Amino acid sequence: MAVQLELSHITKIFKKDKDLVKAVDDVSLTALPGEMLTFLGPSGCGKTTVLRMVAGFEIPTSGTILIDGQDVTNVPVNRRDIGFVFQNYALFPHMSVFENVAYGLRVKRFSEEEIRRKVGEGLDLVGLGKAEKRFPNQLSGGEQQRVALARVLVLEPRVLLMDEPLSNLDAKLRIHMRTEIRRIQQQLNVTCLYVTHDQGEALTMSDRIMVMHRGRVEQIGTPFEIYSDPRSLFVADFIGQANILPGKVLSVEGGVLSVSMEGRVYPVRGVKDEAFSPGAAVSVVVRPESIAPTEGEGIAGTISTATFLGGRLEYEVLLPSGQTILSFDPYEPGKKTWKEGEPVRLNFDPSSSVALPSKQEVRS
Amino acid sequence: MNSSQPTESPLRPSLLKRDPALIPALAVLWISLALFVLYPLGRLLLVTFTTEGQFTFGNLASVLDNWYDRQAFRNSLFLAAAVALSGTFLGYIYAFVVTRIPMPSWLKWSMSAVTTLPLISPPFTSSIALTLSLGPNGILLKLLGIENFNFYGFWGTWMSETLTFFPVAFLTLAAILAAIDPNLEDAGLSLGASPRRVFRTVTLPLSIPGIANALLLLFASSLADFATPLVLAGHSFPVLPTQAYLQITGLYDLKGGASLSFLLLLPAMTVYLMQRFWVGKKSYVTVGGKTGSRSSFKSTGLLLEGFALAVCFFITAFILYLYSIILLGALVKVWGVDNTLTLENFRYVFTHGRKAITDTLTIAAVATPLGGLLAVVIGTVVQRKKFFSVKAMEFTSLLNYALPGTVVGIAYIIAFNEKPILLTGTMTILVAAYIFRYSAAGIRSVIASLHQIDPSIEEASASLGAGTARTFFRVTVPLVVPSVLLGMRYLFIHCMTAISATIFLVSVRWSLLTTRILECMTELQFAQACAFSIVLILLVFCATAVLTGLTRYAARRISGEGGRS
Amino acid sequence: MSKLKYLLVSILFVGLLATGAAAASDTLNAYTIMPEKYASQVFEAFTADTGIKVNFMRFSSGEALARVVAEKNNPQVDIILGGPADTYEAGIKEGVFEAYKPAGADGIPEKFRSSGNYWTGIGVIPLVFLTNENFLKEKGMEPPQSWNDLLDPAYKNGLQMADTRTSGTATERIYSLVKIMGEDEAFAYQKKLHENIQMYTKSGAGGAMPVATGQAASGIFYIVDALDIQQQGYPVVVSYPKEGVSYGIEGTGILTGAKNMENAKKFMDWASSKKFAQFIVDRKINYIPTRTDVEVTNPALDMSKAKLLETDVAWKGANRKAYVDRWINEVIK
Repeated sequence: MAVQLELSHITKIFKKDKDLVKAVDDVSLTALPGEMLTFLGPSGCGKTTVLRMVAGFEIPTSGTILIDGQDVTNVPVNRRDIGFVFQNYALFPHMSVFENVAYGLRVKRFSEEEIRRKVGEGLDLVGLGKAEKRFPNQLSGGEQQRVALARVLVLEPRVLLMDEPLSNLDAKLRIHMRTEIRRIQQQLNVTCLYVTHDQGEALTMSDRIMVMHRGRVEQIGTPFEIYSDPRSLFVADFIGQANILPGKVLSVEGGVLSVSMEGRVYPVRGVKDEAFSPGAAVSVVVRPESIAPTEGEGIAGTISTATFLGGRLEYEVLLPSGQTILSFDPYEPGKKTWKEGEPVRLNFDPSSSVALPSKQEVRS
Repeated sequence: MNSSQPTESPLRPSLLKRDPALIPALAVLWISLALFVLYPLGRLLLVTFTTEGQFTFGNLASVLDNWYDRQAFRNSLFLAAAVALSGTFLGYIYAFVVTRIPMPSWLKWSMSAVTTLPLISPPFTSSIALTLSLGPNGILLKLLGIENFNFYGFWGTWMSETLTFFPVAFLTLAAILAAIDPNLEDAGLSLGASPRRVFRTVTLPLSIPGIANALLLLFASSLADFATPLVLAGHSFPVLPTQAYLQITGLYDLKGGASLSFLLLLPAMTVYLMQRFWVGKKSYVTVGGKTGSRSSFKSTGLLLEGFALAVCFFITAFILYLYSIILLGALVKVWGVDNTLTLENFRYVFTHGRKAITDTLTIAAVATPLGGLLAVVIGTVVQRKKFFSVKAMEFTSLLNYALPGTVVGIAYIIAFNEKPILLTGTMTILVAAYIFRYSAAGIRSVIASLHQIDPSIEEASASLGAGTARTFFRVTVPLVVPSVLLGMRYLFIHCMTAISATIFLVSVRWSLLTTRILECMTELQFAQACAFSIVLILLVFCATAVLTGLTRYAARRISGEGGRS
Repeated sequence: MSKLKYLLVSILFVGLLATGAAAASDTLNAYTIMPEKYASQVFEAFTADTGIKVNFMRFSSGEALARVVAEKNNPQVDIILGGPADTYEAGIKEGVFEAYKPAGADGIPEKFRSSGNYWTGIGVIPLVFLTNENFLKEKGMEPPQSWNDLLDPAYKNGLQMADTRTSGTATERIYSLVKIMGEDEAFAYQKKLHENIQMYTKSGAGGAMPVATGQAASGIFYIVDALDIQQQGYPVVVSYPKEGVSYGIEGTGILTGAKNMENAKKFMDWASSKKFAQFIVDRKINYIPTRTDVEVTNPALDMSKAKLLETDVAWKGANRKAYVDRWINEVIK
């Protein structure tokens, strides 16, 4: 019984000292039933605020929120039927694990027997069946996280909201929990909004990703779309790593542009839904993994650093224009490697690159 | 987590709809505060600034014209400054010894315990003992062969107030000194500074906000102190609180008394505002933050430590000596004449003083839980709810505490002695005076502890379906219980020992132990006064021991890390 | 559910207003200016005789008067017991006393009663000098026999007596001096006396204990407080100045609007009776009874050796404030 969630034209203005700050600016989105939708962006971009408005902790300055077609904009948190998992877990320190998980069930006046059964099931689901009697301060971070999850899941919320739930865990556990959360979300078929600033997390877990920047939505799309068709330089730069090379359109043919850059001409795919005309300035997004030093033809440059990372070599190449290009070259035994100071040519596969209209600055 | 740190939304479309318990709670709180804080104060100002319905500065001017009252104003400020300096100095030395000098824990414990004695004693205790020791023909004076030392006036009052109030400075400063990360001192040492230089350049500067706070606290305490100057200041050193009291009780001059208490209100408010808006924002030390591995404190040099220890031991011994005089005074038949031991005085306390004991205990027992509830509710509303009046509410709720007791007492008799709100002679007026004056400590500690509890804990409760009330009682209250109990302990102690405000409010139906002690002293029943004091100290000690135990228990139960972000 | 908090806060509020309980009707409420240890005996005897329970509090005369004036519209007590007659006179001006001529009034000379029956005298108390015996022995001095003896430098920083702003004993002292020396001389004398003062105490009896323990050498007190200290066993001497002393009349009276008026009248009747007069004599409560039909047994209360000055109560009441102001501005400045 997964439900649909709709935000339309949500804006939130905070008063900070005496200034008004637009934390969220005209955000609209629809999360489909059972979908895992991730809000991705740097800290301060407004993603948490959107999530908190969906939860009901904050009230939008304008706009409406619909859960399952019902307007909940002014419904208090406790009547929204949502489950919220906090970054710091927010377990009640004075209650045992059992009481923490039973808390919401008691609010809903389930019978003691029912509560016992549901808590048991919930804890089993997150793999903590034996921790009932312990207190939060006796649990590890990962265990606390699981309790926090069980605590909302036993209520079978219509929407599951998660605010950077993995950011306090160490790297290994984080990767394990990603798949756990995704598994449980799919198993229960619950619509889920997930806030994170970790692009790896977003790419691996989500059905779709909403990238936010300075309170505005930059792009909504599947991980693949976001990665391969970034709608802005910000998105391109934020998802994965990107070299942005300035260029000029020479001609347009179908979706493919002929772009002149660094003194050479490449056929580059223009980004979807944008019209390009000859003579226009473009920024070409070249992923580091699709550009590599070569002894053959390519853009001329000089290796400024070379770092061996085991699976690959990372080069920073200084171009005559002063720009530095980052390149990831998979390492294979016997393959030629370059040293700092050596002149090289850079070769890249234009089909894996994309050209964007050159109108925005990339925030570093 | 919440990166934008929301403060307040300029447009609040439906906050109230979403938090339906807020409006009635706010209304009830504001009505109570208006009734028991703002209304009396307003009536006091009205009496001060009107004559027969006309606005006038005449009442104030006639007080300022009077040389004796002007003298009282100057003396009050001078005494307060002197007590603030000496008390803070003593408090710092004590705090330094307890936090920085290694010594057996039982010794540390007993030194801290001795400093709490003045905090839980009725107001005249040290005055009686000091008079017997250093007053004319006092035991110590005779022992030391000093003659013609004029104890009454500034010196006696200053000495007694310093001994009574320095523990406040000690507690404030010990907390600050204990919170200074020893790594900072280690860093100073590792950079080649001598221990004494580290003390001068690191430890002392870091404790300056605490010192400023202690100075202001003591200044305010001395300014407001009524009991000590009443007994010790005499005619040569009038101060405002006693002067206002005498004006009302001796000269039947309510207007004069109100004007004098207005004069007292000015410096008190200045200190309060300084504390709130200046010192409050200047703390370098953040309590509760994680420090790395805690290194032990290093020695600060023998000379400095030796001096500090000597001062500490001397003062500790002196306090113990004063209290043994009180105990002895309660146990002998006639002090200095017939030194046979007797329990007669205690029999008197439990027969003639029984009503006062039961009245005081009843009032304290009623006021303490009500005050605790008030502290939780106000603390929570102020710290957690975003609403336009909460800043003002916090300020108002602490107002009676900031004002000297004499001012509050006079304001209360002016306000509640006639219709529409006729409360004189009831227990209500006493309970209200105590609650709205001494819940301040509870309100502050609730706010402080909520400050450390991440709001996500309460949001979690709401997101799990709980309403405001359930969240409040099941989550917020249990988490702040230790600080509420702390506040209740403070309230209880003051219900038992305060006199400055309530001396105006006692009635035939409701009398208090402290006024009985004052009566005994004016009626020459010195031994009975001592016995009353001993009984009172024991009662307070037992009750606070219970409350402290409860606090520790509650604190241990919720010592989890779950609420920290 | 969400009303729970509202409910609790309401309880806090209502609880506050409701904690004042109503008073019972077979009781009498009183302020006493008479020392607590005497008042408790008096009221105990009254309860034993009539079955009426008494709640009381002790205040100095100034405090008690200030209170009843402040509480005029809502009297908290029905009667005042004890305290000098001039306090009552001041109260009559404020309209706080109810006229009532008690049953035993005719047994009491008229000069010991209010002309309008607002108060009735129950005892007479002259001023005396109280001096520490050890002090006298040490200095080889005799007890003071004259007001001027107290100006002796030997008493420097050694006298404790009451502050005129709060104490009826202190104003009595001024009345005596004015009667003896005339007003200006009296204040000049007090200015000199001030040189020897260690401390002015809030209550009339406040200096007696320091004199008893040797903290102070001597002082001027009402005889009731002086004898009390002596009876407790302290080494003190009581003496009278040869120039004479005025005396206070210890009164009692009903407050206008008393809530237990019948009981208050019963008390007045009882306090003016011969039985009461005999009672204070028997209990060694050191007042000289105003009733002439009771014999004083304590030799210390035998006034034949003392010169008593007659002062008019109305005169006292009329001049009180002026004298107090003059005292503040001339003597202690």
